[in-house]
Amino acid sequence: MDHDRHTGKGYGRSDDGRDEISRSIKRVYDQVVDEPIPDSLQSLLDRLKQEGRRG
Amino acid sequence: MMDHDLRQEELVSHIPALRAFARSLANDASHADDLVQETVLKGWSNLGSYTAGTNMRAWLFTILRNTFYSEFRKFRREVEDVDGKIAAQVPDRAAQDGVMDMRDFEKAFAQLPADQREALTLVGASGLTYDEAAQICGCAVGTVKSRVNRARARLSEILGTNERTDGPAAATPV
Repeated sequence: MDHDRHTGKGYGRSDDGRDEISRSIKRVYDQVVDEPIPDSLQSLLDRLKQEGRRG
Repeated sequence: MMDHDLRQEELVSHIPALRAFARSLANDASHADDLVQETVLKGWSNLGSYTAGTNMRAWLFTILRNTFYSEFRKFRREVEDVDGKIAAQVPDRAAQDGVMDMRDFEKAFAQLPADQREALTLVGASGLTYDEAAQICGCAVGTVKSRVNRARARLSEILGTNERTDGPAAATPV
């Protein structure tokens, strides 16, 4: 129903729960994908690259 | 640029996806990033054994998954809901006001068993095929489909959405 779609929380609700769940899974996943890489992980990458250059 | 450098670059490009997959398994951001660090270390030092032209993301997901389950077996770090703490966080059925937010969804998702969370994430969000997901999970394609269906049904039950799990078509879309 129209009043259920695209609420103020930006969360669409359709008559088909399958679509709603699919969208949510993707959104949660994409949220993490879009986060910057944490410093600890970046430090690890820098260290690995440096060690690689040293051979 | 040497082939090895290209592989290193490709590995780095998969880190955001690794973090998202780890988060779905670990249910805890800090633990998830520990898993990713471990996976990056293992992947980096084994890049020589990675077969060029194959799916590096699937290869890294497999390493991460193996790391998670081996750690899980050793330390049982995943929180068991013995006191019903997670259940207590479950939102009231969303249908009550027709609205669910992402926090509601994440709480519901966190209640699923790890094998169902990973199946949903691999197929429903990371863009892998059922075949690829089955390879990563080390199980049959039918098992992945069944986990996805059970996960969807459970989420639907918690969140109060309309979910159809009957019939062959139910296993296909995610």
